[in-house]
Amino acid sequence: MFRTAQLTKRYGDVVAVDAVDLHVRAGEVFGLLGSNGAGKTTMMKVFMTLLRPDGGTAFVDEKDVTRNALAVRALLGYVPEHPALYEKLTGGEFLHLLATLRGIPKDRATALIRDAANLFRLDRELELEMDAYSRGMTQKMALAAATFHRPRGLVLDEPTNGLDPRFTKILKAYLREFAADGGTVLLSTHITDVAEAICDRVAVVHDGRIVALGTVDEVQAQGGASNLEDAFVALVGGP
Amino acid sequence: MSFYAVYAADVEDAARALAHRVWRRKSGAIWFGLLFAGTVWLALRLAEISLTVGLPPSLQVTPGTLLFLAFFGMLAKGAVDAYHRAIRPESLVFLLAQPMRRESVALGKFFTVLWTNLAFLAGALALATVFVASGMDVPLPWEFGAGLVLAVVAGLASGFALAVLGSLSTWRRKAAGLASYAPVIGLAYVALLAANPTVRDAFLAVAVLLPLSLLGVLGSARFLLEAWNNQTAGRRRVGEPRSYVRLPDPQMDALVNLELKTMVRKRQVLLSLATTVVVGIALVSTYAVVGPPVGLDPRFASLFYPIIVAAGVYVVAATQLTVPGMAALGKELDRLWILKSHPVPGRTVYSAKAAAILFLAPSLLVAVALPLPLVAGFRWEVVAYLLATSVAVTFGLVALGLYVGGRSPNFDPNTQGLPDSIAMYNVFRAALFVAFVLFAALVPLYQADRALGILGAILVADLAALSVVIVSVGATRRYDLLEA
Repeated sequence: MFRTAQLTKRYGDVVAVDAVDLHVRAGEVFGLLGSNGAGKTTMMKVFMTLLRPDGGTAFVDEKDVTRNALAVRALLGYVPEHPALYEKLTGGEFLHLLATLRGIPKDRATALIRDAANLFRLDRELELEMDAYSRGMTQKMALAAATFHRPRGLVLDEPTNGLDPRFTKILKAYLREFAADGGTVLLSTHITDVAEAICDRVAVVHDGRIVALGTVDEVQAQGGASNLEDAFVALVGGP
Repeated sequence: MSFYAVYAADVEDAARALAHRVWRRKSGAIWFGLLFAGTVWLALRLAEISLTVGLPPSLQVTPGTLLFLAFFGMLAKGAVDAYHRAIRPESLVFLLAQPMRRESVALGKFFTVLWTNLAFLAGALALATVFVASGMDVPLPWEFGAGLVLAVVAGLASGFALAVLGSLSTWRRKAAGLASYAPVIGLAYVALLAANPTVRDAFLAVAVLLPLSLLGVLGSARFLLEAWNNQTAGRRRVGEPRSYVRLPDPQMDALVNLELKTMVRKRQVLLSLATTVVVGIALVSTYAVVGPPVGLDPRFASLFYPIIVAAGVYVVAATQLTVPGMAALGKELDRLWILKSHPVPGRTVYSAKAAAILFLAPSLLVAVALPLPLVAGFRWEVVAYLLATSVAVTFGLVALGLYVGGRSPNFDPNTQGLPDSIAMYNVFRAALFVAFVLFAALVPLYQADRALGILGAILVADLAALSVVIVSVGATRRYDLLEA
């Protein structure tokens, strides 16, 4: 579903993603683990057509992200690390706007939005302008916006940011179910517990390169540790 | 002294952002310097000509008039600056949460507003001094120069206080807050305009006005927290999402309504309409006060009121249409990801932004371009020519704003997506040039053959409308290349 070949992205002299080869299969939950500034967000933004590669290529469902940007976006739902929303729209208006931009008929959009509101416990918030949202509510609205239209793939940058433990649990269950139904999830996190709980495979990203890749057990073995946290620290260096 | 820390941090931040922009666009900074000097020179030259030729007897411009205009203009500027720097930013929470008095936050923000505007005034006065010293025959007594500085400070202080008081939580509190400030505005009017003071008396009047205005800042500072909470709080809206317009293309329809909804709820539409109506009333009032332009050279007399109308159209179009165009992309700031991660073509995004701005245009024509010609009893062909050229200016200045906003969008949160002061002043001057050309280019043709002149003006309006389309297409390419 997500594939790169020698993907490279630079910001001035800084190489954020350095000739990365990656293949995320359809129907799996794939986690990018890395320290701050490792290049996870940059990779995800390239898949979302928000950044253009400086070298190599990236594909979503075998569509080149630079040549088929609109088709790629139609397949995916996205939650950025800091989701800024239209503060003067209500949550309901925001989701209806996105439905229209995706060409979803109004009746179907209303049903999908109702389902998403139930799932993400957003009933009251749909009538509230979004500048009144707390951090957690903003994150839940961003998750609802990414998922309500039933995309084929999800690109989630630190999706548990700001969520309470109860809702983090709901989200983990939802992502497992999404993948079981054939959807593909590419998520980034630096919370190893999240990765251990839901990811089929993980890649440890460090300085723009993938330094380890495989199932959680395989990565633990590559790091020579008995848990993912210790393996991560061993692979990227540090205390 | 914690207010000083707030002020110093703001100035440091603004100065670095400005330095970054100047470094990136050195030619823009040079142009700004030249145009700024040219504007000061032009203002002095107009004063010189007015003093030599004389104005109509009913149009007496005194030092008090000029100081009142400076006070009132800076009041509006101060209110806008205060809203953007002290009342609306979410980031103010980091200051409000610190262990210091909230009044210190307000004072720090006020000094920031003061500093940025006084820097321009200092530059203008220095240039004026140089021009007068090099031979321009314009009397510039020290009382006027000092009075101008005091009037600008008093105006900014009043604007700051009014912005805070006008942002309180209920309409009743807003009205009470604004009414409590009415005596200060009343005093400015009486002392500077109605009393027709000499330059010395005008100076003394603003010297009295200044401490009152500063007291207004201190008084309103107590309400900053309430104003900030009210302006940053969301409102509950029950029922079906409202649409302001219906367009055949669903994506275009959704995006235009998004823009309009945001502008309405941020009260930008209300503010824009109010500004437009105030300018329209000012134009009609000018005619009511001055009357027919007797005593002027006959060649100039017939152009006197058309020029006044053209000036009004320029002011409204530049501030209410060009400025939103400049911020069209920049105002998206860190939420650009929403549009860029959905399957919506850049062309649709930019066209929707252009269309939303154009929805504000009819008010300009109805409230500014038409009333004075109708009240003054212009011949129908003059009205037709003015209307057609006003339409051309409207489209032209929308296109200019969209061009600048698309070419170099500013994602600086300090300016809410608007270009910095240098770019803004440059664009206003470019807008003045565009407006002058569109208004004046066909005057000789109109004077030779009125029907042909009107038809020519309609053609120019069509071409100006085409320029909006061309600019939107050009900006779309840049939007598509933009990385979020």
